[in-house]
Amino acid sequence: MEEPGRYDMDIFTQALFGPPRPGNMISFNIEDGFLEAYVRGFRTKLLTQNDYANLCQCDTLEDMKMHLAQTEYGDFLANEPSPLATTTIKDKCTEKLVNDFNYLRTNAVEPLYTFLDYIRYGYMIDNIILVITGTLHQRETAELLERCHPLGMFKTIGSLTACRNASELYKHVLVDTPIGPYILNCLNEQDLDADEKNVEVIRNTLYKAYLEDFYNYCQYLGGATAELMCDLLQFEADRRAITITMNSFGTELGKDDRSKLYPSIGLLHPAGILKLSKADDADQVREAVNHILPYRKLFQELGPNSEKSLEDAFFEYEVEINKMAFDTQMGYALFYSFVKLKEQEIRNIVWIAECVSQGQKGKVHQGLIPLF
Amino acid sequence: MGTLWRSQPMQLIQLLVQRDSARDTMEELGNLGIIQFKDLNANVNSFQRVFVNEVKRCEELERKLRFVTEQIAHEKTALRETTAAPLDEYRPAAPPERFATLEDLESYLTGTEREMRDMNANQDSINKRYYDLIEMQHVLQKDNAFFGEGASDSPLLDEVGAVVKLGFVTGVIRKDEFAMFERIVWRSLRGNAIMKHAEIEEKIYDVATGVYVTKVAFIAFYQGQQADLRIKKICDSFGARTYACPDSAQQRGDLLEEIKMRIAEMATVRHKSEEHRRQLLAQLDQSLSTWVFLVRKEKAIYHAMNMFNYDVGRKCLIAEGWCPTTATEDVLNALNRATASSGSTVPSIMAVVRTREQPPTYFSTNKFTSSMQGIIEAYGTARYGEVNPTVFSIVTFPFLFAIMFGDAGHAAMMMAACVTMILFEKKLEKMRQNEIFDMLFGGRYVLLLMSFFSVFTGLIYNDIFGLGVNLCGTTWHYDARSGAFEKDPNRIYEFGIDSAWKGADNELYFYNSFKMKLSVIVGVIQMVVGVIMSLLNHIHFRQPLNIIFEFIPEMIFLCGLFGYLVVLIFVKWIFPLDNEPYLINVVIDVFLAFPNVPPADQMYSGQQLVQNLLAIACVLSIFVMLIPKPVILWLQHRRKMAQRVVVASDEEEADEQQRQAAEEEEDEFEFSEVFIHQSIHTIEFVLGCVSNTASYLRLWALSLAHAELSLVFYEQVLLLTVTYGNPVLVWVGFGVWGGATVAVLLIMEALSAFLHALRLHWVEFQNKFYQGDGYPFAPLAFKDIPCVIEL
Repeated sequence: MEEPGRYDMDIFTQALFGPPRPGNMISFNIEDGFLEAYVRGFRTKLLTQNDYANLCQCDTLEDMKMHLAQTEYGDFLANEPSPLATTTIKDKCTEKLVNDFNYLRTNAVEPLYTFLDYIRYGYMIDNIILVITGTLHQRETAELLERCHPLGMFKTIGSLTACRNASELYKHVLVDTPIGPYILNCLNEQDLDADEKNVEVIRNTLYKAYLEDFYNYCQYLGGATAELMCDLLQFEADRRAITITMNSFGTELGKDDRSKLYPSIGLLHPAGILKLSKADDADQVREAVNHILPYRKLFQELGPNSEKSLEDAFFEYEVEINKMAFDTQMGYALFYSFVKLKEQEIRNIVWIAECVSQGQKGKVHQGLIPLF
Repeated sequence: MGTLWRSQPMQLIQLLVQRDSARDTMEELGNLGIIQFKDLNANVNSFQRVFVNEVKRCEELERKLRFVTEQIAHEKTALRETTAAPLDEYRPAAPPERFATLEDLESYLTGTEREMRDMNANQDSINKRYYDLIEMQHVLQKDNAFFGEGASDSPLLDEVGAVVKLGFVTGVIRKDEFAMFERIVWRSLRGNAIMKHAEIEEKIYDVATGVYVTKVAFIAFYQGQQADLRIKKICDSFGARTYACPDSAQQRGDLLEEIKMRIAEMATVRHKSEEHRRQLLAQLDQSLSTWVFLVRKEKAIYHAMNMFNYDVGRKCLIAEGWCPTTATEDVLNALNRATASSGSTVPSIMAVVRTREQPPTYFSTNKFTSSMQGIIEAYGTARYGEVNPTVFSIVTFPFLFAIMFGDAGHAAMMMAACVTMILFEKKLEKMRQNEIFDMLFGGRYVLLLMSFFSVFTGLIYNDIFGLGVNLCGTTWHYDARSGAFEKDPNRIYEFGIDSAWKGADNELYFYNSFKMKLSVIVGVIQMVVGVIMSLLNHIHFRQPLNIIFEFIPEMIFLCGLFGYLVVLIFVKWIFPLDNEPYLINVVIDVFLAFPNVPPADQMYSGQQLVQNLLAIACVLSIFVMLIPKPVILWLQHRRKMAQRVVVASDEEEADEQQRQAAEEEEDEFEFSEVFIHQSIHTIEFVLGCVSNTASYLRLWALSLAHAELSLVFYEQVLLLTVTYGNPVLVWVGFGVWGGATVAVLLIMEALSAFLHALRLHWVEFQNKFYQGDGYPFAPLAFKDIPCVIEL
């Protein structure tokens, strides 16, 4: 379970049917048709505009519970004693997503199984960083483990607290996990205790390696999967590149170090990346991404006195492309989009819950990104 | 029959209830269970309704009850796994608690839940301490062995003679995590550690997850401060519990003794607290179901009240709902009782509302009719006011089944099973569990009729376990002179089919001819009944157009073509001829050879005239079905439109006009649509008559299959083994034959005959008259509330 093998067909099957190409339409429905249909069924179960409108009218979290009971979430909060807390709602929503995801995983065959695992690796990286950062701040191990995302859990994650530099991370713990290879590029980063810069560098190095690996894997799968997933991953890579640049202003991170963190995929690669690596302020970033239409639009929308943050704009765009990917067929992008959309839905619910519980209902529409 | 023939007459009533007496009123009405309330707040969110807080309160109480139920279920399972007495034995002598109102129950349950949670926390901490001690005991025992392995002198551990002192850590970890743990420790310390472990035989209770797990005691030796820190961190991250353990054997022995003593003390404390907890649970267990009912009843009341309009000014609730007209008196009485009991000064008011809305359909059934009604409703609930096919189906359904399942032996076995179910119905009702058995049990009265009729048809067919019986003494005798069978001319076989046909060369010809004709006769009669039922519907709904332009031509067409065939069948039976024509050819030639009768079809004089008249009538009736009705509807509509213009000019009747306009909006007239609809109906009926009649031949086919199959099993299994003369073989053969009889001939054949009978009713019979687009009456009734919480 912990260390799934990479997709590998036995030689007889290969001899008969040629190299594995899950993108082909002949065998897609045989192997993944059920799960595709299953996930497609979630299309109507996602909360609608109407649901959000109703949720926004709630005065207490109990009201939200009542309304959510009429949706796909059902009585997932039925056993929670009143008064509810926002974190309870979040945990329960996440639990539901995890259950759905695990259902997919247990019913998947190769190569979908590996593909679904790739989705998990992102959460694993987040968890690793969370544990390392937490250790820096002398948090209890148990508390840290509780805050980890359940999709990115692996057994030895707790032992990360005993590691002090990147090479120890690799040698002691991560070598057992599928994301071990990702850390190879930053083994020379010394001393996690020293400062948080190193942690951020590790996070971004891991992510860079992860995105590139995922990208290559989707290319290898071919067909509709490659077509759609590569778009989605390219956006993810670009978003990271832009965010890294924006966040690096005014920090110790030098331009050389920064340019090592940019993923080598994405629409911005290579011309935009080159410009990004030389950027010194936000305007230069805007200039660097100007030649890519969707990003230009994003930055245009932001404007100088807009209330929206860059992060929100990215989220909106992400929802947009995932919605399109969710409506496609014969590829695995559907599964990826499902998780992403569901995540956004949870973010929405939690946002509304936060606004409701803090009596800030006026702000509720700012952070809300309805899906369908 | 009165209550089953058509839906009970329903009325829309409006209730004006004072808010103070609303709850009591609803309780009375819910006990009666005869009003289906309409949701007057369909566009209001569930959390914005008036009584949402009450509903929430009930849900909170339900959650508490679910918590208690879970605790009880958990304890029961736990007790079942041990040798301790079941939970019932802990029941205290005190009588169960009863609560009249929700408030009392609420305060009691709140206290109980807190007590339960405290008790659980307490129990957990006791368990934790107890198992910590147990773990420590094991660690000490194992450590003795670990240290002992190194022989009596272990210089490295000795403070005095050692150059470097080795540190060690000892503790307990889950068995399945040990391998990973060992690996990480080895890597972290670069192999500079010695790890020993031993499995603990006893299962250790894990407080966090509440299950018993296998654990391993381990000891790790290492050197240096850094290593110490790391190894402790790793232990921490794996959730391994470490224990301080003295170096010397002497001290360990002392500590072990002490721990054993403390374990004994802890065990008594643990036992006491467990006992106490079980007593509380047992006490709760006995009255749990009454509380669940109370809470759910209350929730149903407020849920219904949320559907009412609340008049804030007059402080009263306005409810609308459907109830049978016969129940008016009951409702009024209930209202009065509620007003009296709640002490309200203003009485509640009931008014009947006139409406064009279609009421729900309500048939009151009893345990005999309910299962058949269920079969009909599986197709669709009758439209309000429509005749209910159940009335006929109660008899025709089992009878059609019997025609297909005609074997007196098999049917008698089935009947025995049904009679058993009916005799022990009270006992069986309580122990219903299995879904398949529930289905059989629910349909026991239908099954009884089915088996009863099957015995009858089996006797008519002279089929008992696939064999014939010489019931009345055969009327055929072998005549040696002519070498053929001769029939006794003075005697008619008294009942059923003469056993002489069984095993005769032409047995199949005889039976096929008989069963085929029988199927057609039964089918045509049932279809004619269906068409007559449609007449009753037209009369009830006052649709003279439908009577003249649908019922009459349909009747002419069906009787003219297939009724004629049935008459011919009887003619052929009563007046046997030598060179008889095939009846199918005769009927087909009515149209194909029009206007002549081919000599081969000649049966009686005047045949040509009769047949030509029939053919013309049939063709004409098709056109009567097709054309006049849409045209007349169109003309009527035009006249209505013209009238409306006149009315509109009259200002006095503005109200009336508005009302009418609302009515008119419903029936926008589209001639092409009406015409297409009518032509579909016509084509469906005309083609349906042919295909449905053919469809009834399944009666013959299934019956034939059943008879032949039972004969094959009898001959090829039972008789074959008998001919070998080996008793063991016969024994085996009888077993196989018996098994096949039950599994194939009884169960499978019954199932298939059932499905075919179902089809004949749903399609062939009901498509003549049944709309089935009503909705069932679902009143607020407390008696339907389940009082057990499903976990």
